[in-house]
Amino acid sequence: MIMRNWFIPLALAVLLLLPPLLSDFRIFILIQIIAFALYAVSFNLLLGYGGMLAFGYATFFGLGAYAFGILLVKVGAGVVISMVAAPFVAAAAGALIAYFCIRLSGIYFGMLTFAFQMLAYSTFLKSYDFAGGDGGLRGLVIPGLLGTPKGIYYFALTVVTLCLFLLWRIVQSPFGIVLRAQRNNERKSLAIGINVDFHKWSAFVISSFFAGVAGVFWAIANQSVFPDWLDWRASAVPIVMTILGGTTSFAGPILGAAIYVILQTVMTGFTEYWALFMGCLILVIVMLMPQGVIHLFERRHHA
Amino acid sequence: MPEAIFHVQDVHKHFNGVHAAAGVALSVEKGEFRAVIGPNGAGKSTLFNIISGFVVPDRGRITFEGRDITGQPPHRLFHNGISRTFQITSILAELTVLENVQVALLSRHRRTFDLLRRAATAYLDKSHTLLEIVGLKGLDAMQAGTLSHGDQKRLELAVAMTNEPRLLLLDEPTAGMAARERIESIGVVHRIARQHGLTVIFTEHDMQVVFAVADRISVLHQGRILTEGRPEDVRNNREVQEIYLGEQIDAHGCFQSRSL
Amino acid sequence: MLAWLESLSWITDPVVIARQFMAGLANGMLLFLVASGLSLILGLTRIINFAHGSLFMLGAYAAFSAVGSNANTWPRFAAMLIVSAFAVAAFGIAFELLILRRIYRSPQAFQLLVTFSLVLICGDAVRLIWGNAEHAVSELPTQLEGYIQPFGVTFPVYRLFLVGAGMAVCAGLWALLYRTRWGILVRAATVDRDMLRALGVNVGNLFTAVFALGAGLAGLAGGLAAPIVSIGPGLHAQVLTDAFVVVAIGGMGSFPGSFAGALLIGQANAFGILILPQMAIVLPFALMTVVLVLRPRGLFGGRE
Repeated sequence: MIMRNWFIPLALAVLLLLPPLLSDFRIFILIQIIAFALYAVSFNLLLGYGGMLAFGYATFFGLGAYAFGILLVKVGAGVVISMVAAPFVAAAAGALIAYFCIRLSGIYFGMLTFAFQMLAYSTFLKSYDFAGGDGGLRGLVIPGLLGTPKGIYYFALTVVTLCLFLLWRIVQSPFGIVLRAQRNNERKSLAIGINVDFHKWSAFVISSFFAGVAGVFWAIANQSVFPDWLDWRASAVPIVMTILGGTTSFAGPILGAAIYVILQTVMTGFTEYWALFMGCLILVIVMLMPQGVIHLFERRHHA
Repeated sequence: MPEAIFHVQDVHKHFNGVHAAAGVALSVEKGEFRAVIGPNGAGKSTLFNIISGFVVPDRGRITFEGRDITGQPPHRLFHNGISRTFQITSILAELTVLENVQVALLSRHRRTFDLLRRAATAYLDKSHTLLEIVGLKGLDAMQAGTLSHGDQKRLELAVAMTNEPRLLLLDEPTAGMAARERIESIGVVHRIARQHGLTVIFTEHDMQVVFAVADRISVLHQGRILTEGRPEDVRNNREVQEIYLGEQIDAHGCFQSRSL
Repeated sequence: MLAWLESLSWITDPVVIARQFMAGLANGMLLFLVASGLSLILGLTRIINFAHGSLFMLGAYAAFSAVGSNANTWPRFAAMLIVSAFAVAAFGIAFELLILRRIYRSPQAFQLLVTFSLVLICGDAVRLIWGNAEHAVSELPTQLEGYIQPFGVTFPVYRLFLVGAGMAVCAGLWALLYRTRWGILVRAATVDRDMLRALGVNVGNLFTAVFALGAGLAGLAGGLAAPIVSIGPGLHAQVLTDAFVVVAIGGMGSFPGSFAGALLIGQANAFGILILPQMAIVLPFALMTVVLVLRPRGLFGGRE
């Protein structure tokens, strides 16, 4: 269904036309869905396509947000420079972290990404001078039209759609098929001339770049950045979104992001104990729908 | 007179105190179909892993077409014209048959970092040609993991040919096949190799297969080449008969190896 | 810079060093109890139990539940510890039987999510049951309260008790793992799981037992910690990260590794606040990162 010709234009049309009908709060939810959809899809580039499970993925989302915030309010760089540079900071972190992690596999790979995340978290938590310490960075206000909810929404929609399109092209490209190949059989991939480590490293850098973009929009939407976004618990979010939605299709994580955000919003509005419900729901879905919700809509999946 | 294009010189490898390769030396001529045989534990896998780049030798040299390739990783060897197959069939199981070949071709043509074009339409003609050569026409869209064992081996062969290899390394190419299938299968490989001028080194347990197609045989024993020569010479060699402890060649042509 | 160097004047003061050392030792023992369980579970089942800190927290709450704020007689104190250990062990058994069993063969991401959902559930469950406010077990048997002053250095008695209790449990664990058939089985299975099935061992029961043991240890640690921490919903977080650091540094599945790692981190935390008060919390993670980069299997981890 998702890949039928009419679906995407229809969805985009709906998304473009919705805002005037919605309250600012609802627009904020949509912005969150859009940002988190990109976050989830970039995570899935590593997990679903590349076969790499990073326990510490929130690092790149958080660093993108922090880089934007720090550039904007501490360094005083303009809005444009901050927005453009931030994902590159996230990607640089990805390049550094991946350099050490790629040579490891399985649990060790995951644990080292976790270690780097906690290193980043604890550093930012205590850095009052340049990162606002445990209070985070506030007052990230973008002047003008772009700073209004509707402005942010259309801007995010445009940029994220472009990013998702790029990611789609990437997974369909030779780079993408090689990524899937090494996930299937690393030894065979080496035998057919693929420099697997370099390839995984590159995928990691690309993935962290787009996670950084998502982080930037989340910072813009909240007009602040908090160290919590770098805490280990935050790394569960991309995992939840991709598993909920389904890792074996491109669109699965997008659906997962929407479900997660909507569920979380509804639950927090409903009860103080939303974590309890969320936890139970995750359990139910993981045990009962291991292929993710997208499987209800789409049979096709990538290798 | 064909010249030797592949040399293994004094190659040694220790694993946890086991001297798996203890000074292996051999040379293979261009276009030759060379069999490497030996009882279990002789060091065939180690030697194969060393010459295909998966294991780095402690000592020794390997040269191919005049270039020193000792210690080069497998992915570089592929680009230098060397291909290998695996004893336990190694394919990209969740990708389709066509994709298995395409990804190898993309790698061969150094397009693995192409981020924007579509992989699905890459090298369709060349892929189909290769699949046809090995007898897998019409199976493009099948998931490679669902193929029969024999077809998977054919796919592996097609993939191994994507880099127009000058040296093909086949690790137990007929493993897991029924006796009759084996001769037929190695015959196909032999024919393809002749047609394309490939040099082939293969390991094998089934002596009927070996005698059917090998130009020369190298016998490996305790990490060293015991002897080497034409099939008839090797078959009649006293030492060879001894290391297999004088067993008969069984009905299937396999040495019943009760070796050390 | 000069100010920082001046703040290091304690280096020449043996009283301060002794005091911090004991505090680090006591915390190291608690950490060892938590981390050894985590490491055992990880080594045997390959499951990374993010909910292990929550088990510690449940132990502390169970202790409070058992005696309220009053553990001032030895029977009460002992009951507190017994309840915290066994209640959490029972909870662990239930969780393992009902949920964990089904996902041993699932992809790692699923396993992560399952343990993580337990974190979420426990976090709210304790708030539901005991409220948002923080509790404390403030009264202890008189022998455990107060201070003693050997060689002119003041130590809280309870800290010394913790060290002793920790050593006792460690000795017991060691005996269990290295001197019983069951223990040898567990250690062997950590290295080679398939061998176990070939030997006809009921692997399912083994997994359950190990999870129960790990949970019980964490619960016991929670009970032992109840008199000295604020028992609140956030209790699980720091313990979890510290335990992960210990397991990573010591080596997953390694008993001596958990011990050495726990002592190390205990001391790192104790002296870290003196050396670098601002950035003390970074230290364990910096250590973890360095060790994993240089020795991914940990300091005591064997070859896979």
